[in-house]
Amino acid sequence: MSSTNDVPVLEARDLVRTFHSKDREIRALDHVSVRLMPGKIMGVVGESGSGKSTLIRHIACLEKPDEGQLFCCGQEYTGRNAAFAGRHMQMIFQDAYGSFDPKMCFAKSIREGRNGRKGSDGKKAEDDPALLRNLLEKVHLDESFLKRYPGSLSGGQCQRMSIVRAVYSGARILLCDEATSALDVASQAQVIELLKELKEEYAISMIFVSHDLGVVSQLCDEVMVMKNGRVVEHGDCLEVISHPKEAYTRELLDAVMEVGDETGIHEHSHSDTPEWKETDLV
Amino acid sequence: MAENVLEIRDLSLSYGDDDIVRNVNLSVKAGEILCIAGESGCGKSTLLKAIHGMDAINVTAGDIVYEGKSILGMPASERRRMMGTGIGLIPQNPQGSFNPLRSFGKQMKETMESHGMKFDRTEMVRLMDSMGLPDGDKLISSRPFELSGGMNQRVAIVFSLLLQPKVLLCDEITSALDVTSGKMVIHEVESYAAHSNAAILMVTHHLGIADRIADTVAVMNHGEVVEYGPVSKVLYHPEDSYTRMLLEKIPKIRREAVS
Repeated sequence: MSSTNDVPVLEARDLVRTFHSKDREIRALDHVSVRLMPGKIMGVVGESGSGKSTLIRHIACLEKPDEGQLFCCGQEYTGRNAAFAGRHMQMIFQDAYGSFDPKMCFAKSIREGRNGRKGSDGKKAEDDPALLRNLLEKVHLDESFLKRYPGSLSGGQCQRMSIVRAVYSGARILLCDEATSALDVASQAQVIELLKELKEEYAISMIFVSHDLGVVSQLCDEVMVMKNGRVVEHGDCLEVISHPKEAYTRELLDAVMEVGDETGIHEHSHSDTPEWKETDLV
Repeated sequence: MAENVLEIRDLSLSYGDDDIVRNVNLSVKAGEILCIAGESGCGKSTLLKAIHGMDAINVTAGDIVYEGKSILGMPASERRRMMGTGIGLIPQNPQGSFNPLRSFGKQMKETMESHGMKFDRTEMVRLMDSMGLPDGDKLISSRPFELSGGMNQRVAIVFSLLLQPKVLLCDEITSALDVTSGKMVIHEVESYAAHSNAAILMVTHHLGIADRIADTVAVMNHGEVVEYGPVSKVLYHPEDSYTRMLLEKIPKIRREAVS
């Protein structure tokens, strides 16, 4: 596979997927195209049911599209299985505990991610202790954590472990599905920093699905806004968030509740707040 | 000066041998919104459950006073009558509080009649509509398992509001909702407080919500209230280092500087 910088590491062309239920059809993906360039992070935002997760599940070959094509570094992989896609891309889920075998220590889970199956050359990848040490250092978990089990870690620690596993597997693309949404603000901030560092140091490219526009604006280079299975707006992250062209994007931005309003996006006053008195404390 | 509808005095709580909440003092007046913020495991949900009277939680010290009367010493029957119409709770996991196989309409009617109230279908449809659930007539006859988590969460909020509680306890009520429906729900709770002169205790880890609707904010960490006061003080001039950390770590929307 070529690795020149103008070939997208990942490309989806005109993906279409319709789900059929008893009395209606849902067009979950309606001609969706994505181009992810090497070392970039693409944010995907939109409300529940807009097709964000469906999109990355199709990219990871967990679902098959009705129409459309998928390319990894210029090579088509439409219709291949999830094991094939797994060599190049790994998913990071919202529920970190659920993505590990609870009865397997991290050392085993993480190694299995790397050499549990044969690579494209028909051989299993060798262990790389130096890389593993580096990654653990990066996520601020020392090697003693490898002996532990998922249940004994906090949600944030466990999510960091799942990122270690994904990168250690040799995949150079991460597909993150609400990867920070279940975390407390402090762990969320750690994971965001970690993803930024991985992008810089290991040239990892990512698709980052999130409903949190704050996180997306801190992390992503580009952003696409989805609604009802369609991409309604796409472009440079800072540009789209600062100057949204679509009414729907503006609506999403307006709905965000943030502390303080220096941006002037929503007006808010506390003039009706009753005056505070220490005696109110009982 | 209006009386406090609900007062929490020096309250300490435990689950079995584990102390979860220590020496908490909080109060709310009619029409006032108090937000309790903090990270997972800080004891904020336990506090709400104790006010609502969950059996598994032990009150090891302190008192909970509703309209001037301690609810801890109340006979069980009197306390049960008061729940829902006096003190209502919107739980974090609404699916767990519905019978999954009975229609919402039947469950609501039953609940209201057991409190001696009359079921008003039109009002229920109106409330559903205001929270982004159009087609309420059809939804009322549907059953909880047929709806998504976010839809169930909104119906649970409708249930609690229909009972017209004087104190409404909200436990992370936007956790299953995306930003647009989250905003509608928050707006509806805010207008309920204003129109019905009810006191709201809202537990949330989302400080943006606190900023939007709260009059007062209490920040909890490891079972203790570390900072408590009006929004303008706690969120804009925080004194406690933990409050400051929480505020700093929120990912803010990054925009180009306006020239």
